[in-house]
Amino acid sequence: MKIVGSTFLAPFVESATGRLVSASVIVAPQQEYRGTVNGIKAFCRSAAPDSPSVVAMSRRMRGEEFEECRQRGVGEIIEIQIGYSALVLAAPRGDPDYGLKLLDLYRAMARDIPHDDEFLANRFMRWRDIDQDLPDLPIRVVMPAPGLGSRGFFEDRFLQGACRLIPEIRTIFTAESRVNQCVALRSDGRIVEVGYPFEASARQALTDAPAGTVAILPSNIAQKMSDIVKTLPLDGAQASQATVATREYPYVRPLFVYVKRRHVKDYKGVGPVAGLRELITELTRERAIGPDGYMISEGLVALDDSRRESMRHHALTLTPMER
Amino acid sequence: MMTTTRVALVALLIGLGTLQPVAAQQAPLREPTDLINDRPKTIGRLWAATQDAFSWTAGIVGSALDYVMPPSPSSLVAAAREDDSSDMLKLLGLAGYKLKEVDNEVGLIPGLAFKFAIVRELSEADIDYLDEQLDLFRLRSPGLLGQLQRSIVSTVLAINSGGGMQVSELKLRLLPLPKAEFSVTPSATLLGEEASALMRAIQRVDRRVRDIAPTSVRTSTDGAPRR
Repeated sequence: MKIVGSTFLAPFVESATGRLVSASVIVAPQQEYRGTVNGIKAFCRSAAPDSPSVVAMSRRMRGEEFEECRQRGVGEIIEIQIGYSALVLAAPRGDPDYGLKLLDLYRAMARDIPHDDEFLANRFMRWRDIDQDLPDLPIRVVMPAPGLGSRGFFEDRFLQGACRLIPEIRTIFTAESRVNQCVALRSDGRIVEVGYPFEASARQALTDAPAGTVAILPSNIAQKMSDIVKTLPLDGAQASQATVATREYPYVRPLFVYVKRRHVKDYKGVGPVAGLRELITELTRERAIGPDGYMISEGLVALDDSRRESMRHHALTLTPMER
Repeated sequence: MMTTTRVALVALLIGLGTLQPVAAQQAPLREPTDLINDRPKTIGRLWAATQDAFSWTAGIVGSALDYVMPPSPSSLVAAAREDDSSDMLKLLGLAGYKLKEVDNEVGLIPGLAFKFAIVRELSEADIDYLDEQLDLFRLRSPGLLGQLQRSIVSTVLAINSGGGMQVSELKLRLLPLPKAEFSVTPSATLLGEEASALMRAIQRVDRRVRDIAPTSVRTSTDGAPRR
């Protein structure tokens, strides 16, 4: 069994496979976590038995990705949503307490700022230049590098979310031009991109980070780094298990695992990859993803009861997804 | 209002009932007009009671008609204007549509329809976000109306993300019978770019016109205008 995908999901999937391996239910799978984008490319490349059987993604598979998969013969895919996670803003522990609005964050990071019907190069140097209520500290943002699922989610939800509030960008008709304008970030050294392995790289970037640094981190990683950073409220909301589950904190992403149905052995034991059915069962069990499951203690936010039940039914009956 | 009317009528009857014998005993030769001239308060009460009774009846008849008659197009248009932030408009806004036209027909069978035009293509992130908002809307408004509204937006989304075609105009007819009409056109047209440029030009002019009106300018501490 070969598993690829998001580095963010790696600990969750590894804890499930680890339990199955230690109970001698499956043999240790080959796991290679190089990000969501690389993962889905490898997953969709072919339906051959030696191709990845499982991809862990920190967002839902997109329509065009599903179409590409189908064109390459990977038509029947089982979609398993294991829960939610949130991206949060974090600042060095010694920084003053403050909160940011989504538009403040956008203005701090964007390459161009609309002004009098034109897009001008971003000249905001200090947080106070954006809003008088923000601290008089230099702008510096630590964020996930392109290719990581968290980066994709940040662009989709934070940057494009902010652009929906900016008329000059919102009224650009073509999606491609609008998105290109929206996600273009400043390149004057105020943005630090950290790549794989994300957690270690982020810790390194944030250790002794200058005051005014804001990091964009998955909530569980921010929790692990609470010795050096504290979370900042965004639009007045702080991320927690409760606020994420109720969507009071809206910057939440669904976490998915996709499995090639044709790799799964049937009940007669016929099929190319052993252990997949057992992995699907483990990933959908209450002891893993339920409110008291072991993945919850690792930072996952549980789906609500009815959704978990419906997802479990689809997964265990190997119902192929539709998009 | 009804209680007041009844009290006034009872008071009037009592007043009239006691009035005549007393008047007959004290001034048997008085003219009938004296009855009015000597009792201005009673006549005032009678007039007020009659007015109350009329307005009460009119109110009841009006309410009854409101129940049985369909709403007038103008009241619906006004309601739609007031309810700009309604979920349906919000969802259509997220789906890239804007209210373009209101078709209002006055007659024995009034007609009312809202036309929405596409103002922007959706990105993948927009589609994901709209999907999520539809999901939240399902939880908030689980009824038949909510389901209907969701299915209209979902249909638009499905056509637009299917590839090749797009709903260029959506017509929601409320009167005489509710109906949704989807005008589907090939999505690869030059109209999109033109519409976008036109929309931005209109907004630019609109902003300039608004800027002509005197407005106060907030300044930062160094005296420069704040952006």
